[in-house]
Parts: sequence; structure tokens; C-alpha cells
Amino acid sequence: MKTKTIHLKVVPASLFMFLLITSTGTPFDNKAHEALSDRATTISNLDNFLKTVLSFEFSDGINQSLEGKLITRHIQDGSLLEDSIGLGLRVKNHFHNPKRSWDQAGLQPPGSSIPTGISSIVWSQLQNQGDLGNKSWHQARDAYFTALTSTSKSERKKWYATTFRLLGHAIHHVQDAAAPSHTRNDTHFSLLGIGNKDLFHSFAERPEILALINTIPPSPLDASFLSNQPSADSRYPIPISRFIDTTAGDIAALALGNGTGIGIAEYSNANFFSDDTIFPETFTYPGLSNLLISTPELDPQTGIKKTYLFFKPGFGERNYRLAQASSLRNITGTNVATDIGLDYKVFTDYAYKLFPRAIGYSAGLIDYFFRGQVDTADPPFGYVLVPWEERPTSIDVEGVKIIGEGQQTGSGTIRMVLLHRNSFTGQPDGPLSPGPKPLVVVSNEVPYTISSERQTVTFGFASLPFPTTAPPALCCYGNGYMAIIVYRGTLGQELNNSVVASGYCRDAESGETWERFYSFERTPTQAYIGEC
Amino acid sequence: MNLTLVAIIFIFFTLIVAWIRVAIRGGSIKKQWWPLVIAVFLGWNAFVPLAIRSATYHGKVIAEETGEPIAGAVVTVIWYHSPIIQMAQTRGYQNAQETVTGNDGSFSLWTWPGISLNPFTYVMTPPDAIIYKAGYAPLSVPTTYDRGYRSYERLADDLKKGVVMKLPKLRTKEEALRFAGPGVGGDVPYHRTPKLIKEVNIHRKSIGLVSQLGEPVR
Repeated sequence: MKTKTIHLKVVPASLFMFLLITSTGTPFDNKAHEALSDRATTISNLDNFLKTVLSFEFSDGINQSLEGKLITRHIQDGSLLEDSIGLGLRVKNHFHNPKRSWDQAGLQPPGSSIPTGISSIVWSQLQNQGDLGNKSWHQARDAYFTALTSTSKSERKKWYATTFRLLGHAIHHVQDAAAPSHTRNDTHFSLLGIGNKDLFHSFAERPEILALINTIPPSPLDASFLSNQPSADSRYPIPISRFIDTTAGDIAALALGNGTGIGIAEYSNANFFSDDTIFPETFTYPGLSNLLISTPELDPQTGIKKTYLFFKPGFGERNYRLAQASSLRNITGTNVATDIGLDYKVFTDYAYKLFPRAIGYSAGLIDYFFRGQVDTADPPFGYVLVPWEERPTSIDVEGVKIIGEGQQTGSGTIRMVLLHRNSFTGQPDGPLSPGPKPLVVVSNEVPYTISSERQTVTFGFASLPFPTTAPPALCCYGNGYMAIIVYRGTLGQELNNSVVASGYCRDAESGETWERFYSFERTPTQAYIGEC
Repeated sequence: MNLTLVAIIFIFFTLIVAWIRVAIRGGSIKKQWWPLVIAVFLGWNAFVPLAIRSATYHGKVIAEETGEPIAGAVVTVIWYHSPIIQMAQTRGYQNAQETVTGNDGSFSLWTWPGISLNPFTYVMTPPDAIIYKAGYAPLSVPTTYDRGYRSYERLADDLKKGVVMKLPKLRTKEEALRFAGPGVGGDVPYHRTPKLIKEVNIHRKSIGLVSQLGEPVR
């Protein structure tokens, strides 16, 4: 009887937990994030980067299929998974109040003196995110490095896909910071759509707004975001924080207006309302004294005249509605016949201001991830020819330099990865295969300090992938490999963990690039290496 | 939301709560409750989707410029569910059906959301739909491009009424690249929409993309 009682307790509880987990634990879709991520990926430099810098593995650019899915889709997936995995509980760490110090800037429900979530800036840099899954910037860097240096082609694809998904997690935070509810400490939680729903979230899911996201010109990104400027709080040192918040404290009225040099959270906090934070005491801006009431506008759908609030001259931008004037009803005693302070027109105006920034900043974060390149000087054409017994086990690359605006500082390690492209025989009548060959060969790591001067780097290998079988006659067997040079370490203000990779040779005069290629050839008595 | 659905949800959760309370107190659920529990559960998960949400979509697909019927266009209908408790606006894959237009461009597709065993999610209505043919701009309520329907309800209504669907020919490589993916929600398993993915891959190949979409090869 006792056993039966225990079963009756355990089984329903287990069922309840299982159903709750499966209701939130699947990769859910969120159309606004999907559209923003797609647009950001499209307008970023990623397509060009992949086609020119890593062209051997990404000839289709962002339209490359990895693990069966487009790269754009992987980035979208990551931006959606950031909301849905971990029982959906990661959401509590998607808030950042730019008026507070970052360790106090997370979600703090009304009446609570302690934040229940941590700031999205802190969260995105938190290496150990615990039971909710580790999906921080650190993991994105680790995945990229693993992808670049894996010796199995399937593993490389898997980790590239992981990299793009983790990049999607990272841009999710930039996009959330464009929503005023996420920067004005506005908890929104609903059951079956009933409850304290954030109306701007719902608005952003409308098909016409998704179409707007797909066509609206993105906000230009201030060059300082991609340069060598440090994070405002050294406790959270990765400068990706700057996309969300450029200062560790409150910049007050400096956040008003359309300045592109401020973080997206600073912008959305000071220049917009969320539906539950219209004139609260906790936020100075937009303040009642900064605003004026417009002349009434006729709403053609309802036939009702409405008045709206705009910034006064000398404060924020003046070309969008901040709220319906009805939000002043309790303050002024005016009786404007509306129910809520933020209506369709207001949200439409918000969309025209906030989405360009969400797109531009998300694209900027993608470009930041891939910001460096390992450049090399004009390579010497021709062959190294030596007796077979003296065949080399290293490759010298001249003129190595890490390029990219403001990235000429830091130290770490550098290595070369060789990816098999083709094998060939110089004898039409001979055996077609020069013997077994490795698909991927990785050199030993070499210490490397970034400098403005070009350096010669010697990449040592356990052995280079020459044909293992000697050709029977005069000519040769050969293995062709594409090469990627991978740097890992400090890059500008991104300490220790940054990753830079390039797989091209550059013509010093024309600037033209092409895939870095090596051929390892064998004659009956000699070994050749051909470069680029 | 439909009042009937609200009532069913209420009844269902009342039963679940009653069941759990009885269980926690160490008692037992009377035998006569079980049929009711099962009936409500089945009703909610099978009868309601079948009776209320199933529909036959039909129509004809033609080229916008010439009016010629388009044979081989894929019509895919995708149902999503959403968690009843949420902070973000989220949806997940529920079910999909697809068909291909005949030589005269016509199609007919019976569609329903399938059985959902999870009472913590609800099926979103109406479903999403996409009409895709290689070389043409697809028709749907788009998330990531700017053409097509602006309302899921309108799209579903037109598909129920058998409205003629017009697809414009893609003219530039840039246009064609915009439709190099299936344009469906991220968690839709590709093996559940094989006709759509096959047609997308035909389109990709025709514009010079080397890699193909599909489930990863393990």
C-alpha cells in the first residue's frame, strides 16, 4: 500500500515536470529575432569574409549548408535558442538597465531589492552559465577555434555550425537591448497570452513589422565599436559590452538623441517607454518635463482624435511619437479617450527607430567576431626542391601580420592547418593514387606577438603530407592542400581568447587574394613543396 | 481565443490538479475518474485538432507574368505550438503536410495539426504555409523577406477558398539568393518537409550554390 502511495506521488510529479520541460525545452521560434538575425547576417561582412578569407570551406558564403542548414539559419537558431533552452530560464538574464552598475543591472522585479537575473552583458561573458547551458562569447570563441583546428572534416563542420549558433546567442542580447522593456526593468510574463505581456514584443511579431525589418536601412555603426576601445567595466572585459552599454554608469541626458556612439541599451532606455514604465520615478528619461503634446491626430480606423507626446526641442529626436498623451491623464486631469499609453502608431515609430539599430549593432557584433585577419606578404612563387631524405617538416610563411582596425596588439600562438583538396599523379599511365593521405594536418603551435611589423613564421609539423608511395617512374605524385593560418590569443582589448584565421595569399601590388595552396610532391628521389 | 478551447483547457487542468492533490495526500483516484481523464485528454489532444482545426487547402499555382500553370510547385503547411507560460514570443514545430502541384498547377492538401500530448503547450492557429518553386519567389507570410501575405488568417482563408496563387519569376542572382533557404521556422525538421527541401536544393543548384540542404550526414 505504501509503495502504491509513493507511486501516486512520484508519477504525477514526474509527469508534470516532464511536460513542463518539454513545453519550454524545445527550440522554439521567435519571428522577430529570426528576422533581425537574418537581416543582420545579410548586411554584415560575413558573406564576404567567408568567401574570401575562408573560401575553401565556405564557397557559398552565408548560403553555405553546414550540417544540412544554412549558415544564416544556424545564426537564427542560436538567437532563438537563447530564449528557449534551459527551461526558458535564460530569459531572466536578458535584461540590462544601463543606469546601474553592471553587477546590479539585471532584472529586478518591482518590490525586490535584489536582482533576480544578471545583466545580459555579464551573462554573455559568463564562462560558466551553469545548468542553463554554456552559451557565452567564450564558448563561441572555443567552438571557432575547435572548428578551425579539428582534424576531421565532419567535426569541423559540426563545430563551425556550433560557432554560428553561439554567435546567434550573442547577437540575441543586442537585439533584446533594443526592446525598452529589457532596458527599463520591465518584467513581462504571460500565461496563454494573458498576463503582463510586453506589447512591443507582440507588435514585433506582426507580418508587416517583420517586412519592415527586412527592408529598413540599418543604423550605421560607430567605428569605435570595432576598434580597440576597452569595455567600460574591467570586471567584464570583453568589449562586446560596448554594443549594449558604453559606460559603467548612468550617462543621463547624453543618451538622448540619435547618437550612434552609445550602446543600444543606453539608447532604448532613455528615448523610449515600455508599457509598464511610462514616467516611473526610477527613470529620468523620457521625463514629463522633456515632452510636449502634439495637436490631435485623427485615427482613421476608430475616428477618434488622439494626441501624442514628442520630445521638446533640445532633448531627444523629435520625429517620433513617444506615447499617447493619455498617459498624462492621471497627471494632468485631461480626459483623452484611450486606454493605454503606447498604441500602434507609437510602436510603429519605435520600430523605425529601434530596429535599424538592432540590425546594425547585431551585424556589427558579427563583424567584431571575425574582425581580424592573418595577412601575409607576397608569397614567393615556385618550388622548394630537395632530396627525398631531406624533405622538410616545416613551412616558412613570410610577412605575417594580423590586420584589422586597431588590432595590432596582443600575443598568443599561431598555427597552420592544412586541408586536403586533391591528389594527383604526373603519370597518365601510372597508378592514380599516390597513397593514403591525411585529410587535415595541423602544425605545432608557435608563440606569436602581434606587431606592426611583418614577421616570418616557421610552422613545424610532425610530418608534412607528402605522398607515402614513391612513384615508379620519372615524374611525381602529389597531394594538394589548402592552408589556413590560425591565431589564438589576445587581440586588442579581447584578452587571451580571440581567434583569427585566414586562408588566403595576397598579391602585394594588386591586393588581390586567392586561396593559400600547397602542393607536396614526390619523385622517385626528390621532394617538392609548391606554395600558393 | 475560442471559448470552447478555454473551457477545455480549464477542465483539463482542473482534473490534473485534482489528480495531483489526491496523489500527494496519499489517497487514490477513484476508478470512475479514469475514463473521464482519458476522454478529456484524448479530446483535447486528438478530437479538437481533428474536428476544429483540420482543413483541406486547394487551389492553383500560376506564373505571375504569364498566367501559365506551374507544375511541381511545393505547397507546404506547417503547424506550430507555443508554451502556455512564456516571457518571450516563442513557437515550436508541431506538424507539417505537403504536396506538389500537378501539370495544370492545381493542388489539394488535407491538413491538421496532429496530436499534441503536452498540455503545457497549445497549437497555434492558423498554420503557416509556403508555396515554393525553384526559380520563383515563394508565397507565404514571410519572416525574412519582404513580399507575400501580411496575415496568416488571410493566407489560410485563401487556401481554403482555392484562390489562384501567383508566383513571380526571379530575375536577378541577388533575388534568387534571398530564397536559397526554405523560409520556414528554425526548428522545422527538414526530413518532415522533404518535398520542400528537394525543391530548395534544385533552386540552389540552379544558381550555382555548391552545398545542399538536408539532414546532416553522420
